[in-house]
Amino acid sequence: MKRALSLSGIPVSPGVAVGRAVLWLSREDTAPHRTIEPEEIPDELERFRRAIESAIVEIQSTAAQVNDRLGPDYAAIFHAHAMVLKDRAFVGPVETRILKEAVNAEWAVSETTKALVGTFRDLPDEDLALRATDLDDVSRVVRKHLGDESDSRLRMEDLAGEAIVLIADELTPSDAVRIPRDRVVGFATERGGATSHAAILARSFGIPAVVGVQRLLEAVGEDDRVVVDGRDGIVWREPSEEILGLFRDRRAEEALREKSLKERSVSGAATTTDGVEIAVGANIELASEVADVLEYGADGVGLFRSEFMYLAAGDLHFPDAASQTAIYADVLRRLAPRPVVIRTYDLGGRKGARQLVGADELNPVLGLRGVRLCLARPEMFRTQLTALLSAATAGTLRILVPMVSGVEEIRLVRAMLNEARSDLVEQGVPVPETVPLGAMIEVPSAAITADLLAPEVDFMALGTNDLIQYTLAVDRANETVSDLFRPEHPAVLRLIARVADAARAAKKPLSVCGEMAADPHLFLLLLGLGIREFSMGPRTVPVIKELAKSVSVAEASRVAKAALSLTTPEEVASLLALEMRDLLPAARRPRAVA
Amino acid sequence: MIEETIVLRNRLGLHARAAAKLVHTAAGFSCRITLEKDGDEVDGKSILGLLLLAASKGTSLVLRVDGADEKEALAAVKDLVDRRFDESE
Repeated sequence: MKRALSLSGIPVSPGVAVGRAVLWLSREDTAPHRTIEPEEIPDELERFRRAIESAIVEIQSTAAQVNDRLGPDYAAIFHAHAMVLKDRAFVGPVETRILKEAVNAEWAVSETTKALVGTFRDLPDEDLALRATDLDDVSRVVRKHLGDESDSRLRMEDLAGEAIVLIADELTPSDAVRIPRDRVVGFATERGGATSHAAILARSFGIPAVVGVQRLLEAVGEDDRVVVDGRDGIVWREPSEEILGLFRDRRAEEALREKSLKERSVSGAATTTDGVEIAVGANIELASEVADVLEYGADGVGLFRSEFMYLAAGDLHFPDAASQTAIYADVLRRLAPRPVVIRTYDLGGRKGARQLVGADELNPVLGLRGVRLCLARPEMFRTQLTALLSAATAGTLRILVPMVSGVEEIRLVRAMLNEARSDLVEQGVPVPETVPLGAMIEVPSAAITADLLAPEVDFMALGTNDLIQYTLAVDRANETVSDLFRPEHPAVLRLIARVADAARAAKKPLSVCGEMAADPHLFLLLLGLGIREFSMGPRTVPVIKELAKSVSVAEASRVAKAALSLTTPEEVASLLALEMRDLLPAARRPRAVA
Repeated sequence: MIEETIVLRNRLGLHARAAAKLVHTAAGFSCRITLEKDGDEVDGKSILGLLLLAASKGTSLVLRVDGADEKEALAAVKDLVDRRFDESE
């Protein structure tokens, strides 16, 4: 056994990880190298240009998914990648190589990237030198679209085993996004800084990480026992039993704290100090997250984004009804009797747009997406509805329809649902009498006419992310206007109040399932505006449940009323900050989301 | 042609996100836009060019614009930099 050794680096994500080292090495540049005939050059240039186009589409699709899962900051990295592919400073040299050296596109891309990477690595500034990993990432995507299969590494998703600590020279954004969170407990990289993509991701994932560890790869070998100290920035190789003991103690303490928070969460629904029961559910994208729902004590699933299972694969192969039924039934069964709200495919926009819509939309966010796309692809939609109904007896299912803009759409969907149900009944498949059908309120027209929608649905769910985007005319994936995306805007407040009033009048349940729900300050506001059901990422459930138990609806209503009389988002944000400080003693005050 | 010196005031300087915002802004104008640091002049519409400037917080850059919409372009880029690229820190 090797002797104990400690290495230091930059701590970027807190916590302690103890595990087995798995080396993740940068792709070796072995792009195929061919000389081509002069007559082949124009075709090769064309092949390159087409690969660039489809690579850009893939990267933008990844950006949209990442935006949904991890937020616009992380998605911005992929937008920057797409920009590189449109930059003459990249495309030009590749074309010149193909032209002048008469070589294949894969080789030209690989050589050009190497040269650029070299230039970036020579930069004196550490943070900016990081961007070399972005170039490698981009180059890899283009080469994939050229049909280059020389990336012989195991895919991140295929890493086997448990309690893995990834040891790498660096992690590209695409690598980082694919880390299997159920198997990897932490990572350390030789390169990288506090602002590197891997660091940002580690923090989002909540896994300990240390970067910039010099001589890491020299020191740590495959299968070595490793401890990653994300608080102090130290990586231990084969630590002594004593050191291991110290870390285990620390980890136990931290786990205990988190556990008590979770226990209080799991122990049941949250009730405000004035006796109003608040439901706090979880937003999930994959069946594998059901474990998180249970672990963090969520009251159910307020939003299951059903399209992610297929988007993650990269190609859009919609499984047949039987495969879908199996997945839905599994989720429903494991969570029963907790309600599970499954949202029908929300595709289009930037998610899988090209393949499904079949055309380049100038304004995809305002185009054929959500329920519109489903109604335009009835085969696909019918299959999903049939699958959902077939799975319904396994638990407590509610079906939610995205991007509803008016009553007609809901009527059409209900008709399709009824048809699907009749067919199943005819075939002798057990289906519940009724399955609640709800509309996602994210388009301003739906919010403004919520009073007309409410009688036609069984429940409503406010998709605040998109509602804010459409109401304020701010593309939430566009970093140049990201500061204009303000949930506290008076227009947003008024719309939410309006929808809450309509729901109350029609006696229909209403939930909020956008990012707003997880922000403690905004939670208070929403509570005061009349919302009683919330859904958010599983990890944030315990904190919000604690908060709900510490405030009263009466106080929250007073705050909301005051907020509705203000003129700007800044005024509202200040009011909320002040009120939170007054309502909660410092010890129990959760930090606002940055 | 107009030129003006601008100073980067945001914490991370001209890093990837900021550079992307600048390119996005610059792309909306037809005029030629360049930025110069210590004698290196790069195209403001090229993200790689901007990143290679390796301009950190406090760096002075000479912004040059040349073309029909140069006045608007100068104002837009200056504004973006003055707003610290809308970054929160």
